[in-house]
Amino acid sequence: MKKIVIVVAILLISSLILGGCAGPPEEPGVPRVPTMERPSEVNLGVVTCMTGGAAIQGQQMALGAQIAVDYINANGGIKNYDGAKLKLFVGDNQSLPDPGATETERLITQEEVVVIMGTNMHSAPTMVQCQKYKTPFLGTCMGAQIDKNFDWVFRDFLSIEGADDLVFGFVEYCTEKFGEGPKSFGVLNNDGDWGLNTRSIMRNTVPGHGYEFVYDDIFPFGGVTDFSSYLIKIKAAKPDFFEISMCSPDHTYFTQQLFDMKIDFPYGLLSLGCACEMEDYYATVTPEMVEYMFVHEDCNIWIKHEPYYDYLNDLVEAELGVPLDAYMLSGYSGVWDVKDALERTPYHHTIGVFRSSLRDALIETDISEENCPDRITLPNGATFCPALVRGIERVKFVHGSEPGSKYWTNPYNHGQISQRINDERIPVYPRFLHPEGKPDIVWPIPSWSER
Amino acid sequence: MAEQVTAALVAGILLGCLYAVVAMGLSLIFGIIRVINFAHGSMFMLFLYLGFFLWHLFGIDPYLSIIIIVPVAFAFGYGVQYVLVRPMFLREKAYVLEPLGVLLLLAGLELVITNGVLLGFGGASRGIVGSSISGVIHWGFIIVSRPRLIVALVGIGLSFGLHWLMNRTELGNRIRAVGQNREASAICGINVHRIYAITFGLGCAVSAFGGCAMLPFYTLVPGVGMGLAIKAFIIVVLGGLGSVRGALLGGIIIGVVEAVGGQFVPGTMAVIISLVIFLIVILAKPKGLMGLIEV
Repeated sequence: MKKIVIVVAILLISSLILGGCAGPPEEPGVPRVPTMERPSEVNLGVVTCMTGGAAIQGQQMALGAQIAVDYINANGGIKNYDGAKLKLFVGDNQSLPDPGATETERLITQEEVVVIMGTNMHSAPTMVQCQKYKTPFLGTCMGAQIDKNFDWVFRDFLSIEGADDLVFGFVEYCTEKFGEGPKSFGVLNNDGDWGLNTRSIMRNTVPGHGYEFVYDDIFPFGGVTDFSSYLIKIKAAKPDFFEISMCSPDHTYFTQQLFDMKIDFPYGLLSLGCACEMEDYYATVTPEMVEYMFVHEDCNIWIKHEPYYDYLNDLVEAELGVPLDAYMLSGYSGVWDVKDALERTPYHHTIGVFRSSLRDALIETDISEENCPDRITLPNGATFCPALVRGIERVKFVHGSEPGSKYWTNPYNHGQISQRINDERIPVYPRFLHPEGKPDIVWPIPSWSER
Repeated sequence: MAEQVTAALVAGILLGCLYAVVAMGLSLIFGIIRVINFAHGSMFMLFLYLGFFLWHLFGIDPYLSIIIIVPVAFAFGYGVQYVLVRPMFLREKAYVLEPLGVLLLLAGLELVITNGVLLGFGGASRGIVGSSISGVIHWGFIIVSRPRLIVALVGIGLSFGLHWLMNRTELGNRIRAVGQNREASAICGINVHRIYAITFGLGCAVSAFGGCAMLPFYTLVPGVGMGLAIKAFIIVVLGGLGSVRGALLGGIIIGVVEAVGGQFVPGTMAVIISLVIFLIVILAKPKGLMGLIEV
């Protein structure tokens, strides 16, 4: 008994002595940055389509991210880590689902990236890997539905649920303004995650809004060279309003053959973006083929009038020979979102702890024109907030709208609807985006024979 | 509904002819040399890009560009067989009908061509707008695109032309002889590797011919050939190895099933139905519909 008392006493005294050697308790709210352990480099990952059918979009996304990284590195790096540089690793999902999973795993386990950004296509496998390895995934361009338990996933991109709110809001606005509107809807979606997710939501929501659902089909993504059989079926269904989700080259074939067959949608054709957000698509069709087409744009198409347009456009054209578009901006602004979070993230040499702290910082993100720590000054003296270049008002994450959702989404990233009028894409909805002096919504749409 | 199905039937025949145009070149190579040309899709894409740039840079109409591209494609195919594939055959010490190395070599060539084009020209979509023939023909409720009708006619013409070449000419006899028995042909004095090179070149030239006809409405991206090549493999096996008329028949069957089936089920399901029909035909007739060689 005496021995036990002595041992316990020694343990107690030892713990008191060791406890006294510890530093002062941390002040709440002050980041704990170990002074001796600051990184010289922080690895970031982008998983996107560098090859395959969606390569043009993916390459722009990766380029946008690299432009942002280069700028940050040339202007002092991450100040929170005494100017540590960012290093970008790009994973190629080859525009296919499976390679995305292995590439994401490679970046996380071998390159030790602290965050994965992406993906312009097939984001589901990347999300699964990020959740598995507890690495933040910042989706700046993604169409897949997010598992509501994926608490490492952040979406700074318009949600499909939000997109449909925008579509129905637009249709109802036009119906009220012009006194007439569609009674029936038709949809044709691709069989990728974006298309299937859109289809599922439309099937659930169209009847709920009081419209008859007269056509609903899916096509093999990137695998159709002739839409005749689909168009024959669409013609027979006679939808008043038609929605499609297509990339190139599918969209071009559909547009050309729709024009050939002169099928009228009295209240319009709405494309959910992808191909028709890119200039190369418009080079493969004639202006009359796309006149009056509505497009759900991912970002602000009036960017040409923004002060930073020339600065960013010159960088993209020099590298890829194509004009600036939404995909480049999604990669670019994503890096600035991460940079903002890193400046608030305490470094830890254990990668898992570091990733967890970065996730916490992303949750606290709140960037707006009024609260933008990283502004870029242009040669003409104008400044802009690089995290907001896509025309969104704010970057702030909240849980998804589905009950019990644990993933994070930016509700301020809503996109916009444009209409092609006189060979120009003009933002028409939300209404505050419509530029003064430009033609307004054409509704109903003139039939092909009247044009 | 009858009108809808009839219109879909016509659309399916046109689509099937388009598939057949891509499949015919593959059928020749597959059936005679007994090599699965994994690079067929990327080679097809390469010829399309060549046609596009002839139009883009020099204003040459895609239909006219046939006289430039077809000889180039023949020379390209001849070169690939003679320079890359032939050494793989010669390396085999024992008699090997289909050297595995050739499959890997051609799969590698596919990657090189596709990614080379991606690197060289970028991933942007390209297409010819405003070729010499455009518009549609109305036959009552049936609407047919003129450029697509031309592709169908080219497909039918090529199948008859190649059938004549293979069955009515000395060269065709030699090609068929080599396809049936390589060693026996060599004993009879036929230069097997020259015939292989000619066949490979012919396969590429046929694809290029069809590709030029497709250019007025076709959209180019570096990966455009792969999807068509996969479909072409199915059609070649369905129609019968080495049979160009089989390729046409196989293409039309697949096209019609996809188009007509698509009127009753979702588009992706119609594609599955066409594959089920393919499996049934192969189980019942392993040589394919018109083939000489068992799969």
